[in-house]
Amino acid sequence: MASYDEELLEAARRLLLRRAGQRGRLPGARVRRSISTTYYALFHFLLEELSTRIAGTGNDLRIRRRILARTVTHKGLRTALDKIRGAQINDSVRGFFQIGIAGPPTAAPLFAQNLARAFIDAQTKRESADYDLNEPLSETDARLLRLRVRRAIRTWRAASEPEDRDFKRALSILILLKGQLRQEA
Amino acid sequence: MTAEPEKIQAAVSSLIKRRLPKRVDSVSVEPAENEEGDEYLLVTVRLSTADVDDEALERLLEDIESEVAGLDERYPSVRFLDAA
Repeated sequence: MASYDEELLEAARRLLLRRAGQRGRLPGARVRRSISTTYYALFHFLLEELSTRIAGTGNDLRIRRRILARTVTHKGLRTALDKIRGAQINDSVRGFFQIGIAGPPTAAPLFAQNLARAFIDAQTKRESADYDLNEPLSETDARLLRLRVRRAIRTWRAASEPEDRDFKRALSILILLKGQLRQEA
Repeated sequence: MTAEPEKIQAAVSSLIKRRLPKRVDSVSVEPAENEEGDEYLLVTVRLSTADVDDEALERLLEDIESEVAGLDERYPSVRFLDAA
């Protein structure tokens, strides 16, 4: 059975399909809806990831996972992921990703950086798609975003070494804390 | 760390010229704000041809993000305007 994020990505793809013989630009509403749907595919993927990594995967924990997922905000996700997207993890949270005594990592693993960048890309475009008709968005943007998000999710899922799992869990907690470990100026 | 949009535009234009010569009409970079009031950079690339595959554009988009990250901490949202 397809997961919810896969169903949404498929819906985003279908919005960009042409009927046989159809030429010219696709209606803007379909392009914008596709972008918005792609964003929500990634948003729901992250909710699922976070809630299972923190609450656990058991059937009897479904309600706990649902309650936990409802506490996640779009802004909190962005703040947390913005801090790990670059070549260096933001200093305010770097120590949180340390394991043992080797010192904190300089950068997030690539699978996490890719997902963070894809999320910020998708969220920025989704806001334009849903709220600002003056900002340009093309069929190419919608297609590329969907491909990027699909690849980011696959790469994330494929990262399963113990240190990858630890990073995912620490990031899940950081997201739950809305990207803030202490009062920052 | 922030940079003038003109400086970022010059760096992005130079990168695009190397990657997709003669396939881009224009590039613009301007500051914008999201719904939360956070600033980002709106990077608009107008293609001159539809003959560019998605893989090349995907790579270009990520290369533009990396290029801008070295100049400015604001996130660059790269948009491709389809060829007329």
